[in-house]
Amino acid sequence: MSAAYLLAWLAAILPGIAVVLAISARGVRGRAAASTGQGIVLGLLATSAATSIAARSDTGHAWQHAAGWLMALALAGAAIAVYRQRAAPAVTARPRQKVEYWKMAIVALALASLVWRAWLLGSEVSMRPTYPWDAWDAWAVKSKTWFLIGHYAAFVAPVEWLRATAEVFSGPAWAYPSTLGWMQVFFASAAGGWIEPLVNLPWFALWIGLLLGHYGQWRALGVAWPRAAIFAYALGSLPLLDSHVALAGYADLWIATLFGFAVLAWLRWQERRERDQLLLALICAAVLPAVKLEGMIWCISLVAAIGFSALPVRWRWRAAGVTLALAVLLVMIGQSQVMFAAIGWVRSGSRVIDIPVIGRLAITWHGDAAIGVARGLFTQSNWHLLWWLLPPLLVWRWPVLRQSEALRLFGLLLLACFALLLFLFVLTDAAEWAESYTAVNRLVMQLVPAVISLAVLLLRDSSRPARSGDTVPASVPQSDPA
Amino acid sequence: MSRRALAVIALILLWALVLGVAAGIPLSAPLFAQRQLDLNGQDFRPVMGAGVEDGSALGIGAIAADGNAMQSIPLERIRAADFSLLTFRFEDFPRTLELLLVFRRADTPDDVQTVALPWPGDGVVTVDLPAATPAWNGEITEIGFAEYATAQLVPPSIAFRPFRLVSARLASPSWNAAPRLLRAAWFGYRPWSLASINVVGSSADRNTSMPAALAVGLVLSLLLSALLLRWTRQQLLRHVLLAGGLAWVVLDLRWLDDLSAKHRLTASIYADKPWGEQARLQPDEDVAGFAALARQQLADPALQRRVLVASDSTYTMLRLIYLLLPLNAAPLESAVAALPARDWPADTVIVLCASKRWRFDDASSSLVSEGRTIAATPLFAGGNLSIYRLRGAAR
Repeated sequence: MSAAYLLAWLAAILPGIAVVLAISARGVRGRAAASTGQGIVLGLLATSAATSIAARSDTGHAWQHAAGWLMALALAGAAIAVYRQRAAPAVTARPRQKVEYWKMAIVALALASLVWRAWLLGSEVSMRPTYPWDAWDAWAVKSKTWFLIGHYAAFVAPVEWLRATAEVFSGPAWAYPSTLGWMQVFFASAAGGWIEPLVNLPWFALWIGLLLGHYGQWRALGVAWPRAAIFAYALGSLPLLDSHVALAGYADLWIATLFGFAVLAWLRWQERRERDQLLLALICAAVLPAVKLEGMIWCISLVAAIGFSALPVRWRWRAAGVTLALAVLLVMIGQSQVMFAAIGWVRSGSRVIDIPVIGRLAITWHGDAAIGVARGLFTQSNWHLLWWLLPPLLVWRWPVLRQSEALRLFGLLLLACFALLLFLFVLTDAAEWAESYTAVNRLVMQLVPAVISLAVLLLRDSSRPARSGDTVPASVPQSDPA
Repeated sequence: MSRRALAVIALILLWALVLGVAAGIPLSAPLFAQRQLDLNGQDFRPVMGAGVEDGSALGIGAIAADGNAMQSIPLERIRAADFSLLTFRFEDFPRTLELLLVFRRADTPDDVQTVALPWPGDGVVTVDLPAATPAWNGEITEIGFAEYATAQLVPPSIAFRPFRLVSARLASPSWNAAPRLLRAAWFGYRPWSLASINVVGSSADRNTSMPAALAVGLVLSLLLSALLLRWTRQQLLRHVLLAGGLAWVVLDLRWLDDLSAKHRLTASIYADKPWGEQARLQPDEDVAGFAALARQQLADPALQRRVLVASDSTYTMLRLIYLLLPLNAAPLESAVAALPARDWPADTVIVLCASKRWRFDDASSSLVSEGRTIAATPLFAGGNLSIYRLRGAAR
């Protein structure tokens, strides 16, 4: 691993951390962890954007071209963070809560397990050539091509490819978003060659960012640190999630992380009215379609949920009712077409829906797919006991869910997302993906960090509401112990 | 008897039942096997590869040219239903190899049935054959073991290391086999596969699920305990959390153990090697070889405009395209579907790899497949790889 590669890593993650720190309110619990975690992930995505702009004509030196922009962004973020730090009223150090030894011991064991797992996953990624099917068939094709030819070239549909006179490329995944590809170009250039283990290392950083970001946000939302640490362990221990790190190259874990970050930032905005968190939620939602096509569906769901929560209470259900009625009307009319800005024309027939990012879906009941979904959740080893424990937890904490408007809306969003998945897998031709398990578990994974967030927030100590009163002005600035 | 003692006894019985059912042991089965057939390693004869007697074991010292090894033994028509449990023991079995049971039935003597077995390592492994394959029925006339490089994961060229087949045993079902059956089904090493990104374990796994068995066992245990010990709602909730947390940790320890085992294999292949060598050690060495050969044949810049690739295997076709990058390659079938061949650019090159669907017809000097024809001139043909230049294009 060369010095250039290490420098490239600094250039990739520092801007994200600095910018998230700059927009994060001072004195909030978990600020350091949340900023680091979210910063790593958003920094990697900013790296991709910078590379796609600055290195189009010289991908062989992509990291040198992008690093200047990234460091400028890092410096600007750091300057704003320092300015806001000085301008904001100082905060008192909150009294440390006394934690029983047995809880400390459990947290220590959970952390040890995460450290051991991190070593295994990091070591696995750093040795293995790109392995899983779509990683080399779909996601790395553009990046490898651009890096090896030394410049950008468009990927087009086969018919255009055959007709083109200019240098263009094609392939089964020509229409997939290029965000992760540009990130791989950046790290390939820093590594000095198309060295797949080094190109895939961002997936390991993503895992660390996912865990830190969620831990920090849970703390900010009022979860006690031992509980937040235990749930970070629970999230990091999920076998399918770990597999997506070890066998790096798929986009699903990025979607899961961004969706998880977006909902947590949205919750902070709802509970604490932090406008910077609303901005963060919208940024994470907006990036989703640029990572993977179905990210558009989650983006629309998130934006709808954010919009719904932003409406005055008396308007919400009327707006939802009108929207639903319009949707039903459009489907009932048959052969209707709705233009969505980023998806394109969505056509609905009596038993057919044609969604450009997903394809043409005939609507009919698929019983085997329902069994496939259930097996994926309850009997396969993908999720430990997550889906067995969630229903009793919901029953037990139902009063908490009902009391909190933010959690209620969060729960409704997750319910709507799962309803969409169930509709897709049980009522359309996509049932094949559930019966063969090729996609069902990966799509469920995209919601899993958010589901764990719901679980941990339901278990939040109700005697310690997370309000803006957590920040206490004082004369002497001190660091946040979390 | 106190309620606490009663609860302990009830829980022991409950878990014996849950684990026994999970292991697939019939409730009517005896504690010890009533029938068993013991075979020493030396009783097996090498069918593929080479082996020598090593005490009572069989030492396998070489594989056949195709990279496989197989050892078998004829049997005097045993009823599959009477011998549903197979126990086997190997020594020094390399992690790079996959193990299969092969057997022949009296009703289909020309067919060889196969079933994947858990990786044996150095220990004793027991599997429930009817649960592993529906083909284990009727009368069995021959059984054996076959070994080959772990599919989709290990480069065949480095997969083999000598090992010993120590013993095998066929037995009727019995309750004392339950722990060994569960150990193999739940704690056995499962190598990475291309499907690992979609599902942990195997989607074709017919064993009872460990998470489901634990969950059902816990629900029943908690209900039983709450009933016998007269727990309050608060006590029940506390125990649900405790039991759920413990079960989660048990499942996670199993996953960590499996992940460690997977990583040991990866490290044994790739650790401490420069990237050039890691890149050479692809599980699909044959496709990588085809790619290197095709790249060599297409070294002339005039042949590098557009390369269309076809193979009977979608995996091989896509993998070849990836390995050929940055050559401007795409699937032949996509091009055929997009435009008639006469409208393709004149500098188009077609690469066929292990393809029977597309073949070159000497008479018409064309590539043909299912009624479709593409006029082409052969540039190279060797083994499973052939390269053609498009002929008669309009531009």
